[in-house]
Parts: sequence; C-alpha cells; structure tokens
Amino acid sequence: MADLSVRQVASSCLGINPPFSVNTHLYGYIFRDQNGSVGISQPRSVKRQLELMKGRAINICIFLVGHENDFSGVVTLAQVIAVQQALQTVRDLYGQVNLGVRTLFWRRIGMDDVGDYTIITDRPEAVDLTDDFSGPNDGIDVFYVQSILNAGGWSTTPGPCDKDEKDEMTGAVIELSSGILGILTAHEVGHYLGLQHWTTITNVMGVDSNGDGIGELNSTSTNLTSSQGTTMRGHCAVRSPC
Amino acid sequence: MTDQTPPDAAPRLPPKLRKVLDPGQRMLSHQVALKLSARELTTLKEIVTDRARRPGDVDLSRAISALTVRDPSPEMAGILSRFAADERESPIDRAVAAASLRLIATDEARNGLLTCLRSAEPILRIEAIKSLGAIGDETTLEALNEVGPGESTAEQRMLAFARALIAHRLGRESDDLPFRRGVARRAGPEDELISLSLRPIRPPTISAERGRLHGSDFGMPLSERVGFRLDVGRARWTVFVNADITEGTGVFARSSRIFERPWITALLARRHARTDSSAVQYVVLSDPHDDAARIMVVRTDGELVYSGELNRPRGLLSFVVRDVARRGTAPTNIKGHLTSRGVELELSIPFGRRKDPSPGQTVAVPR
Repeated sequence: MADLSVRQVASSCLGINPPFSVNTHLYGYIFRDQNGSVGISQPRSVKRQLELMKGRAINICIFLVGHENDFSGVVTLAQVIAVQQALQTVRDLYGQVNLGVRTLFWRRIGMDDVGDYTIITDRPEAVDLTDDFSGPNDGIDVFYVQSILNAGGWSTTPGPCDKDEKDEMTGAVIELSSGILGILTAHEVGHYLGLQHWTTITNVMGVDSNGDGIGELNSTSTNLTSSQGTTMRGHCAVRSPC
Repeated sequence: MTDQTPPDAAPRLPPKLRKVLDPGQRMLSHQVALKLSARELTTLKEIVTDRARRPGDVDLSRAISALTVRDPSPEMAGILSRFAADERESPIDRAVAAASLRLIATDEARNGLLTCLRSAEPILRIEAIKSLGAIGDETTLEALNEVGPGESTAEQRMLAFARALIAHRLGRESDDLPFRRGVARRAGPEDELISLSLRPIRPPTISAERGRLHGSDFGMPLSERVGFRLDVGRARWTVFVNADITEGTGVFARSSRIFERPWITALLARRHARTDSSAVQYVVLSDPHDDAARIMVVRTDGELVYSGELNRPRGLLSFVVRDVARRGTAPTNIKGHLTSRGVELELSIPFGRRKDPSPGQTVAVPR
C-alpha cells in the first residue's frame, strides 16, 4: 500500500475532504477528556487504520443509552472516553484478522426516552431495546447501558442483515461497568458477526466452561483465529473495500 | 490456623468470588450464582452491607444480582431494601437493588421499594415502580394510588402499568392502562410475512419450561396443565397461563373464569437458545367486556404492543390479537380458536419487519 494517503482514504471511504481531524473524522473519536485527549492509551498506527478502513470493514452505530449532550444524563464523560478506548481495542482485535472498523456513528437515547433501559435485567429487555431503536445507517448497532444483570452483554448469533427484522436482536447491548469494555464489545459484536464461544479463554469469544451459554472473558481474551476472521468477514454487515 | 486479616481490613475474596465480582472478568451467570456456597453467600452479604470493609475493586451490581438469585429470602429483601435506600451508594447500584427486589415478593421488599419512590433519582424510582408492579399487593396499590404523576413519560407509563398489574392480580377493575384497539392488518406480499405457530404443550414440557424461566413471574401462579409454545420466525416464546383461570376446569377452551373478572392471564417468556433459558417479555392482561374479554399484551416496561379480544362462541375460546400501530412494532393480525385438539388459526398475518424504529438522537459534543 505504497500510495496510501489520509486524504485519499478519507475521501473514498468516508466521503470527507480536508480540512478534517484525524481523531474526530478518521477514527470517529469525538469526545475529549479534561486534558483534551481522546483517551486512547495504546499506540495507534494511522497507516494501519487506513489499510483496515480501505479493506473489508464494518461500521458501528454507537447508542449511548441515557445520555444527554451536557452530561446531565446517566452517562459520564469518563464512560464515553472508555467507550472510545473500547472501540480502539475492537479495531486492534479485529485488525488481527484483517477486518476493519471504518465509520463510527454516534447516537444517544436521552433521559426522556430511556425508560428503564439504563439497567437491563434480562435478555428480552435487551431485545426490546434493539427493537425500539435502530441506527439510521448501515452500521451494527451497539447499545451501551449502565448495567446488565447476570451477563455483561447480549447479542445474537449471527445478527440479521436487516436491522428492522422482527424476530431477533438487531444489535448488541453492552454494560458500561465492565472493566474489559473493549474485549466485551469485540465479543458481543463477534457474536453478531457469526462467532460462537471458543475453547480457550484467551480467545475474544471466551469459553463457556460450565455450559451455561455465558462466555467467560478476562483481560487475556484477545486472540482471533483466521477461521474466525473468515466467518466475520463473510457477514452481510461487512462493507466492501473502498 | 488463625485469620490474619486485621479487623477493619477488607476481606480477602475467595478465588471464585474474585472472578464473579472482578469488573475485569466476566464470570457471572444465573447458574454460577445458583452454585455459590453458603460461605460465599455470607461474604457477598458482607460486601453489600458493610461499606467500611468492602474491597475497592468489586462490581457491586454483580454482587447484588448474584445474591438475589442465590437467596431470595426475606432477610435478603431487608438487605437490598436498606441498600436501595442508602444515598451513599451509587444511583445505578441502588437501582440494581430495586430491580432485584422484584424477585422477592415479601413485605420487606414492598416496603423498601415504596421508600425508593421518594428518591430524587429517576432511575431508582423507575426500577422501584417496576418492581412494585411485579410483586405489589393491596397495600402497595393503595400507596401507588397516592403517588403523584411521574416526572417523565416513562415513569408515568411505568406507574400506570404497575397499578394495572396489581389491580389485575387482585381482580379489580382498573382504568390505569387504557385499552387501545389494534389495527386490522391485511396480508401483504408473501415475502413480507414470517411463519407463526401456536400450539399447546403438555404438562412435562410446561414443567421443564418453568425450570428455564428466569426473573419475575409477575405474581401470576403458573398453570401446570395448560401452556403453549409460540414460534414467530426465529423467535420463540413459552406462554404460561394463569393457574387460577385453568384450575378446576377440564379443558382450558371451555373455561369461563376468564370472563368473570380482570386477570393477569398469561406471560410470554422469550426463549434464548444459547443459555437455554427464558424470561418474560410480554404480560397478557384481560378484562371482561360485554359478553367477551378484552386483552392487552404489554411489555414489561408498560408499553402496550398488541391488543385483542377473547370470545366464546359455541363453547370454544376464540381470540383476536392485533398490533396497536406502535412505533418499532411489526404489523400483526392473528385470529383463531382453541379446540380440544389444540389451536386453529383462521387468520395469521405476522409481518417480518418492524415499522419505524426510532433512530435515537444526535450526539453533540460540548465545546
């Protein structure tokens, strides 16, 4: 990829032209902490992001559940910074199998509309949430809620191509209280892209050692195999190279 | 061997609890919670009740959630009630405690939840109202009738649903949740429709499905003899029927008790194949109306989604269920009747796509 240029990729893949910010527009990290940082602690390679963005990639529509733009809702600045960090982790993890995350669309469900969705008590509530809201684009909907009882997240395997489909969850629902938010997001979106639980906890898809259907994860759950990559890249939510 | 832990220090967690409560791992599930030992249970109680000796890096929501599944006792209701009322705890954890109390139908739980209604935290009030609807009794209903209008639309809706649930449980007429007539949808192109089947299940299957049911049963006694399986496209529900309606009658189809008073008639528990479990997604309320009964199929957050009617022509029990044109719901129109052989559908129009879900709102970053 000798000819890779930020300007060219931004234009052909995102439809944006200079002037633009690499963080805000290329990566989609729109929030800054008190120090003006997007809060990504791991080293990033713009070149690698351009490569992944140009190849087969997904778009993600992030729903901040219970968020007000002035942070008077239940979502805090620290939490949205953690979401950005998590999305970079997803990019790093999926990059292992050459699947990019191209565009991040940010949406919110304000306090007037959120009802009881800030705490998800069981899976049908997560289904209701994805029934009620659907991102206005071709991104996979990922809903960040405050807490989920008896699971860290809910998704479906594989997720439907049509986000208005009636009979299954049309997105992933993830709890912000997780200490491994990036791995958890990669895990639940991994389910959406067709992956099942794995045989070792060192895999992003974790292991269901007691057979209860809930994948166990920890900070070492970072690997993806090439066959998992093939499955993910074959899902209908994956966009063509640009 | 003596305990080397200084008296005021946080207790060292056993490895299994460390995994369950560590925000950096995901280990907690319903089954894991059920298998916690008595000693682990005691440690969890200490974590929730004793702020001074609480380890700093535990996920309190998980602790509360695990405790409720493992030990839904009056003592636990007391612990969670005190926690939910404690303003030193975070609003989210307090709301999780209020949500968990709906699994413990005791006076301690009801009293604790009523106290939460005075909180300034909207998410706590909403979860408390929702739980009161699930476990409330006559005294609760009186207390809820004294509560002013909710601050938000969602709170008002939840309050109305809670009152309606309790009233139906008690067999009382209620105008809290107004009936809305569904839309008589006509069939569209075949590729826009999905499959639908409703069929009775036998007592052993009902028993097995009861074992899979997690979460609240909304205070409805589940019939051991009458139940159904509903399949719509890839989705599957178990329809649990109120035992008080089916009790004493040989065949559900000939039952007339349903026309005598308001009931929580049935619960639709959505199955999840991977966890081999289910939880209630819809509550079916019925009210006598003329010679028939009106039914409302309501989500657990109080959203009316479908409505219809039950009739009894020639001793059969016939039904009509239609969507109420709610945003985010797929158009649906079902008509059929129950016979001694099962369910016969005369009309089945379940569309496969939801109409007009909300796109949410725009995120703007403060400057």
